[in-house]
Amino acid sequence: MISATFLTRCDIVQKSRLYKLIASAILIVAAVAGYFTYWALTKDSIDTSTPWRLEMNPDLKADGTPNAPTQEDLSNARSELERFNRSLDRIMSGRADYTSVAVAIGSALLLSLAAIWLGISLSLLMLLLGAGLVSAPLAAFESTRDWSRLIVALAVLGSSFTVLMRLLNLALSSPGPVMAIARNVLAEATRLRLSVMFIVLILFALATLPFLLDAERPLRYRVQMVLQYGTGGIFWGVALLVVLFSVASVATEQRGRVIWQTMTKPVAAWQYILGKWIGVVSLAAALLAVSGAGVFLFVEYLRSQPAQGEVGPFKTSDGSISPDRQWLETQILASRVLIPNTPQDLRVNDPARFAQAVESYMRDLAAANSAFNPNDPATRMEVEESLAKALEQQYRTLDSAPGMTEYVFEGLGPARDADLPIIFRYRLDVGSNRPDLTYKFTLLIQNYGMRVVEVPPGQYMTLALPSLVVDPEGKVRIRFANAFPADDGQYMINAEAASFPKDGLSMSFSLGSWRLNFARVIFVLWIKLAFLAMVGIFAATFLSFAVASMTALGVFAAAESAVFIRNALEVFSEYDPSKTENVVVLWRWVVVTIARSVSSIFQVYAELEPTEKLVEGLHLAWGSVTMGSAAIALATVITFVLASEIFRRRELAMYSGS
Amino acid sequence: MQGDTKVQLLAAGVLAASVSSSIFLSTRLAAEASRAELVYTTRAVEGQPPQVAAGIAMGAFRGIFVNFLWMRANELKEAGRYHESVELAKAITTLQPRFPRAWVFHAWNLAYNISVTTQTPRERWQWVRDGINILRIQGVNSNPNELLIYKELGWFFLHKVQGITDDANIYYKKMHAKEWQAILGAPPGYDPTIRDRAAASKRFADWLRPVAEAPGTMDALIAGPEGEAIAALVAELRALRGNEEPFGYEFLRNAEIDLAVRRSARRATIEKQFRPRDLQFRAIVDNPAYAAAWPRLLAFARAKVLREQYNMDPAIMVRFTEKYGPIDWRNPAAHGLYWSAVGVERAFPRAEGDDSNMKNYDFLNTDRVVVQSLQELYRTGTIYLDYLSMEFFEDGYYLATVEPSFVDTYGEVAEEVRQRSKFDQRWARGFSFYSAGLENFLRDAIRYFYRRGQRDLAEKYRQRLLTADWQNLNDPDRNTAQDLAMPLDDWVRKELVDRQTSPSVAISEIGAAVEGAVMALRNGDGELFDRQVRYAKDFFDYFRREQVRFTSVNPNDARMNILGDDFNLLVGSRFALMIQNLPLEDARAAYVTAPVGLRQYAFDILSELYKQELTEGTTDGGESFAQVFPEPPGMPEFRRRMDALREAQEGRPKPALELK
Repeated sequence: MISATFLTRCDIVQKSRLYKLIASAILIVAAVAGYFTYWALTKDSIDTSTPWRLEMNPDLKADGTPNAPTQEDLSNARSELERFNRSLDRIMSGRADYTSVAVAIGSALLLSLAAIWLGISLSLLMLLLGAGLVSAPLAAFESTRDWSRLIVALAVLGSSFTVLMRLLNLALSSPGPVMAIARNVLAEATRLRLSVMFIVLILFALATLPFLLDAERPLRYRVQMVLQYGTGGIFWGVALLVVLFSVASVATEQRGRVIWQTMTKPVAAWQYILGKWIGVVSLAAALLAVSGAGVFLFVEYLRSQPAQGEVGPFKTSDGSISPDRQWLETQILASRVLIPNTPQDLRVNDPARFAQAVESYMRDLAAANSAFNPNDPATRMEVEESLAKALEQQYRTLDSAPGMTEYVFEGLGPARDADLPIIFRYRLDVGSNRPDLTYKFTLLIQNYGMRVVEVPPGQYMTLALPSLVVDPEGKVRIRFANAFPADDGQYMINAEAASFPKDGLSMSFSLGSWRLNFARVIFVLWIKLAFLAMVGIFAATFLSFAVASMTALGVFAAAESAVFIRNALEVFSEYDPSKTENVVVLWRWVVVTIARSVSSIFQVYAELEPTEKLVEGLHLAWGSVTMGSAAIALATVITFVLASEIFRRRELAMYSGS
Repeated sequence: MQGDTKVQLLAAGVLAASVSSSIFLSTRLAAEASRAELVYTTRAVEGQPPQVAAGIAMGAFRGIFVNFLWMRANELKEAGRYHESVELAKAITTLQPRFPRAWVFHAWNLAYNISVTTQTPRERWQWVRDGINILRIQGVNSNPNELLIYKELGWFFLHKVQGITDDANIYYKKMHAKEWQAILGAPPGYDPTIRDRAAASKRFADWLRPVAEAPGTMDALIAGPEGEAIAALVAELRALRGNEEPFGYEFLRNAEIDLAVRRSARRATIEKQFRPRDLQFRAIVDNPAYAAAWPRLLAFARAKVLREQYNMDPAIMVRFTEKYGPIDWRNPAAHGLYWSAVGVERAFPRAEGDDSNMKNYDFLNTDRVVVQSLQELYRTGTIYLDYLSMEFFEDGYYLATVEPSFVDTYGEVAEEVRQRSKFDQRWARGFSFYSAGLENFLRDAIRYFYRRGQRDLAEKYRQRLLTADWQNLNDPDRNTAQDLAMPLDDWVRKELVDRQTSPSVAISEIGAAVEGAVMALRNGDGELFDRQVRYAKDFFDYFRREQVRFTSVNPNDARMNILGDDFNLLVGSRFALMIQNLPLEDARAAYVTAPVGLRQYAFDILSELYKQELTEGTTDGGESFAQVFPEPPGMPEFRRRMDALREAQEGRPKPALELK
C-alpha cells in the first residue's frame, strides 16, 4: 500500500519549481515530437491519388468534322469539369487533415502544463495510473473491454475537469468580495452532494456516449448522434445543474444562516449576487469546455473512420466517393447557409399583370354576388391577399398534367466562386401523404441534366449537386415534372397533383468550417446557461429552495419550449372549435394568452437553436450569435438588477430558516 | 415480557405469516393467471420484463415522457432527420411495450418511410432490417400472443423484401439470401428426379432436422455424443477467435464461406489469398479427430443463432417444412409464411370458442399473408445464389424460379383458412377472395406444368379446377366449365392469348421457357431441357404465324421483331447470355450437359471470361480452361456462320412503315 510518507513526498516534489520546469520541458518536447511522429507515420499511408476526379474523353477533339466540338466548347467543358473536380476534392479534403490531431495534442499539452504548474500533476498521474491498473485486466476480455474504456474515459474527463476547476480558482483569485464569493461557489460545487452528483452524471454520460453508437449504422448518423447528445443532451444536464445549484447556493445559505457571516461584512447585495453568478457561470464553463472538447475530438475521430461503403477512411473499392462520406462532409460537418426558393409574387414581379388579374377576379365576384362592393378598399385588399396566396400556391403545385414548372434559387454565387457542393432539399405533399406510397418525379437541373427521383410524400429529400449548376448570376434553376419515363420511353403522369409546402424547397452550401460553427454553438450554450444561472439566483433571493427550484425550472422549460408553444398556437386558438362563429372560450383564452406571452418573451432564446443547427450542419451566423447573445445578456442584466434590489431589501436577520 | 416486546414478537409473527402466504399464493396466482390467459405472455412469470417494470416505476411521468418522445420522433421524421429514429423507436417501445400499434408504427416508419429517402441500396436494406428486427426480436418478445405484430412482420417480408414495388428489392432478396445461407448453410439442391411433394419436403426437413434437435446449451452439447471431441474443438476455436462466445453469426458465416470455397472451381485462386487465421480455421475443420464433432457443433451454433438473434424456433421451421413443402429459408416469403403462421398458432387458442374474442384478432388478413406467402414460394421457391460473389463483392448471381411442390399446399391451406373466414364460406356468398386467388393460382400452375411437358400434372389440375365446388358465382358471363372443357393445348394457348395485352407477354413466356431449359441443363435434367425447348419452339412458331394478324392492328408490332426469325439463334443467344452470369460451377454444369449447338454459342464468351483466370490457377493445381470448358467441335465453321449473319443483318434495308 502506498504510505502517507510517500504521498507527502510526492506532493512536495510536484509543488517544487525544478520539477515543474523539467516536467514542462519534457512535455513540450514530447508533444511536438509526438505530433511530428504521427505525421511521419501516417502521411505515407494516406492515399494521395485522386481516383474520384473525372477526366475528359481524350478522343474528343476540335478537328472540324461534323458534330465535333469547337475549341471553345472544349475549353468550357474543361473548365466546368475542373470546377466539378474541385468540388469533389473539397469533399475529400478531410483525409489529410491534421488539425484535429494538433488540437488533441495541444489540448492535452495545455492541460498537462496547467496541472504541472498548479502542483497537482503527480496526483492526477497517480489517479490515471490507478484507473489504468483497474482497466487493464478488464481490457483482456471481450465482455469487459467496454468497461475498461469507460474507466479510462472517466479518469481522463475527471482529471481534465479537475484541472479546469483549479485554473478557474486561480483566475478568480483576485481580491475583493465578488471573486471571493465566486471562489466559494466553486468550492461549494465540489462539496454539495447535489452538484457532485450532477457533475459525475454528466461526465459519466459523456464517457458512455461512444458505447451507444452502433458501428453498423452509417457514419453520418453516428456523428449526428454524438453531436446531438454530446451538446444538446449534455447542455440539458448542465442546465439542470446550473439551475438547481444556483438556487441551492443562495437558498441554503439563507436557510442555514451562513449568509449572515457574509452579509455582516461590507458586501453589497449586488456584489453578493454577482459573485454567486460568476461562480456558477464558471462552473458551467468548465463543464462545457470538457464536454465540448470531448465531443469535438470524438467527432474528429469518427470522421477518420471508414464511412459506409468505404474499405478504409475516405477510400472505396472503386475510387469513388461513398454517399455516406459525401453526406457527412457536405451536410453534417459543414456550416451551411440556407437559400429558400425565390417566391413568385406577381405583385412584385409583374404588378401590371397582377392588377389585371385582380380586376378580372373582382368583376367575376361582382357579377356573381350583387352585394359585393368592388370599390371598397378593404375588400380590394382582401381580394389581393387571397389572390396572391392562391397564385403562390398554384406556383408551388405540380398538377397532374404534362409540363414542367421552374423554380429559381438566388444568391448562390459564393458557392460557384468557391466550387462548393450544393445541397438541394425538397419535400412534396401528395394527397393525404399516405405512408405506404411513393411517387416518381422528373427533375431537370440546369447544367446538370435530368434525374428521376422516387419520393415518399410528406418527407424531405436531399440531392447533392456540384457548383457548376450555378449560373454566372448566382442562380440555380430546377424544373419539376409530375411525371416519369416508363419502360417504353413514354412519360407516365402521376394521377395526383403534388405541391411543395412553404419551406419545401431550399438550397444550401457550406459557408465556413464546422469547427468554428461548433465553437459558436458552445458559446451560445454558455450564454444560455449564464441566463439560467441568474434566473436561479434571482428566484432564490426571495423564495425557499423548493419553490425557487420549481420557478427556475419552470422558466427553463418555458424558454426551451417557446418554439414548440408557438407552433402549437397555430392549431390551438381561444375560439370554440365546435362553432363556426368566433366564440371565445374563457379557459382557452387564458391558455392562449399565457402561451403567447411565454413564446414571445423567450422567442430570441428559443430561436437560436444552436444544437439543432449543429446537428444539421447549418451555419450559426455571427450576427445571430451577437444579436441573440445581446438579447439574452440584456435579460440577464435585468434579472441581475431585480435580484440585487430584492436582496438588498430583504431583512435577512429576521429570516430564521425554520 | 415487556409490552413492547410482545408487540414486536406479534408483529414478527404476522410478518413471517404474510411472507409465507404471499410466496404460496403468488405462485398459485401466477399459474391461475396463465391458465385463464389473463397475462400478455403464456407464462405469467415472463410478463414482467425489465422494460415493463421500468415503465411502471416512472409512474405518471411515463405518459409525459412518452408524449415527448412521440412528438420528437414525428418532428424529426417530418424534418427529414433520421439519425435518432431507431433510438427513439426503441425508447418509445420500451416505455410502451404492451401497445402493439406503437411497435408496428415504428417498424413501418423505419422499413417503409425512412428507407426510401436514403441514397444507396445498402442503407435502404439497413433501415428495412431495423424495422424487421424491432418487430421480430423486441415486439414479439414483449407481445408473444399479439397477432397484429406477427401479421405485420410477415407482411414486411412478403411485401417489402419479396415484393417488387421497391426499386431496391433485388438487392434485398440477394442480401437476405446471403444472410440465410450463412445461417443455415446451402439447402439441398434441386433434384429433378423428385416429383413428390412429401419426398421433397422430407428432404428439406431432414436437412434442417439436426438444427432442431441440437442441444440448447453448450454443456448439454458436450455431455452428448462426441462430447470430448466437441469440447476440444470448442477450445481450439475459442483460442483462434479470441472471444468468449464465438458461435454467433460471424462463426457461421466463416464456416459457410469455407464450405463454399471448397466447392468452388476457383478454389485454388481463392485459397492463395487466405490469411493465416483462415488457414488455421481450415486446419481445425479438416482435423479428422473432429470429423463427427464438427457437424454437431455447427448444428448447435445454427440453432443458437436462430433462437437468440432471430427469435425463430428451428423445430417450428422443420414442422412447417413438413407441413407446407420444401421451404428454402433464403426466400423472404418463407419468413412471411413463418411469422404469419406462428402468429395464428399462438393467437388462435386465445380467441377460439368466443365470437367476441375472435373479432379482436385479425385472422383474416394474417391468413391472407400465409396464403400469399405460399403463392410466392410456388413462384420463386427454388433459389440459385452465387454465395461467394455475394460475400466478396456484395453482388452476385441470384435467380428465383418455380417450386412446384407448393401447388397442392396452396389449395390445402386455402381450404384451411377459409374455415376461419366468415367472408369466404362456400354457398354463403357468390364471391370469395380465396376462391378467386385459388382459381388464378391453378390456372398459372396448369400453364407451368404444360410448359414443362408434364401434361399429366397439367391435366390433373385442370380437372381439379373443372370440378371445383368453390368457384365464384358472381359473374354470370363467366363459364369456367366451358372454358376448361377445351383440349389442353388449345386451352393453354387461349389463356396466353386472352391474358396478353402486348407481345411482351408472349416474349416473357418464351423467354421463361428458354430460361427453364438452361436451368435444366444446369441441374443435369436433359429430359426437362428437351421439353422446355420444345414448348418454346411451339410458341415461337405459333406467334410467328399469328404475327400477321397483330401487325395490322397492334402498334407494338416492332416488338415482335425482337424475337427474330431464327429460333436456334434465339435460344443460343439466351444460353450464352445466361451462362456468363452463372457462377463458374453452375456454368460448367450447364455447359457440359448442353448439346453441341448451344455450346458453340457460349464457348467464346466463356473463354473471354475464364480462360486467363483458370490458366493462372493451374500453377496451384487447379483445372485448366480446356478441362472445365472443352471446345466444342465445329467452332471455326460456327464463327464464320455468325460473321455472315452479322453482315447480313447490318446490310439489311430497314422495313418501310406500312399504313393499312
